[in-house]
Amino acid sequence: MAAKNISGISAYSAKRVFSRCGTNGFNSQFNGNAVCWQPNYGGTWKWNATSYYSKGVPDASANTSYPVDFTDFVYEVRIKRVSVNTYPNTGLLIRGDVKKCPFNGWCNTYDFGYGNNGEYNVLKVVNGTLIWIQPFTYTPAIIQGGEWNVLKVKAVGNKLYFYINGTLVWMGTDSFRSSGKAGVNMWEGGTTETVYIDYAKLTVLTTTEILDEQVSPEQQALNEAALREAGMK
Amino acid sequence: MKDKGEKKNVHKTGHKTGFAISIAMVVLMTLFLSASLVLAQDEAPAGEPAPLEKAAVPPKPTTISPTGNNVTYTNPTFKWNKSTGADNYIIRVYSYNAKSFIATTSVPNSVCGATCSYKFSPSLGLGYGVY
Repeated sequence: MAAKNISGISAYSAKRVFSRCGTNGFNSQFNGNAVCWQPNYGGTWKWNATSYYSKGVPDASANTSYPVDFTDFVYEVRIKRVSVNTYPNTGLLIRGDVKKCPFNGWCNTYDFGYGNNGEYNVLKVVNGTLIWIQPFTYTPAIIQGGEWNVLKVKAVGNKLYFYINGTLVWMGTDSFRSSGKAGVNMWEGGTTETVYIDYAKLTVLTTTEILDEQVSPEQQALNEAALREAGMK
Repeated sequence: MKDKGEKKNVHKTGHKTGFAISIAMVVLMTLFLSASLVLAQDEAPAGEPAPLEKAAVPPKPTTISPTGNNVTYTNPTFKWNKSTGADNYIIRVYSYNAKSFIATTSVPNSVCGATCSYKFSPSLGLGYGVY
């Protein structure tokens, strides 16, 4: 917006972003559009006929989100990272506060990431500080080598469940964040890296839903080994 | 002949004198008017209102709404704080999905009270998206 009179036109005021998006969940197929998705920080996000994608930025995050706060939900994203490096993290942000913190990260959020080297991790960001819940941990559930993977999160109250290609890799409780934005994060991009999102969908759950699932003994053993190696257990 | 000639000369001389006086009067009037204009521009005579000054460009306005997410935002009301000296306001609506401005309008200052308010007519008819 700008003001004007006979002498001229003022500078335009700072942009005010608003959105008109569904609040009962979403099903974004990214087939030629990314309606309601808002690029947040670090790099640009584009779409083509089949996916929503970004090259990110070097040594920092690039992220995008749906501009609605959700509390209890199932959030699923089919994603792949075409990459010359195998380790950089790509993943889902949930219950986030999109305020910007160092390295383009969100100041407060949960982050469920994976790498093309077959490792996943779970962390929470508290006022810009990364706190590991599950350090980088191998899981055979990841399809390595830049292939498509489906990441899914179920969040009900303080119960959190993280899945890769249908396999529950981590579950636990945490009360840090009870609601917030859902998004996608790409760490350490650049000209040789591209993250593609085939679809992202979120279904709102009722808080009374009971989740009776367990991480497999094999994955639990891998999780505990990673915790010990990181000095967290 | 001589007389005629003298008369002619007198006539010619008189014509020349009248022309010179006319030129002088024009010059004097021009000088007077110029001086009057300079006086009017530099300072108003005591007891008279100051001449109008050229208005300054108004400061940029501060927007108030719409903000956040609202599924009813098909045609939101735009609100902003009044900008001193503004005669009109320009509202631009950008669609992140279309990656372009989808509406631009100029709104008169008459929409302002304590704050300014405007709703597009016909409706913007916004679909799902970020703006």
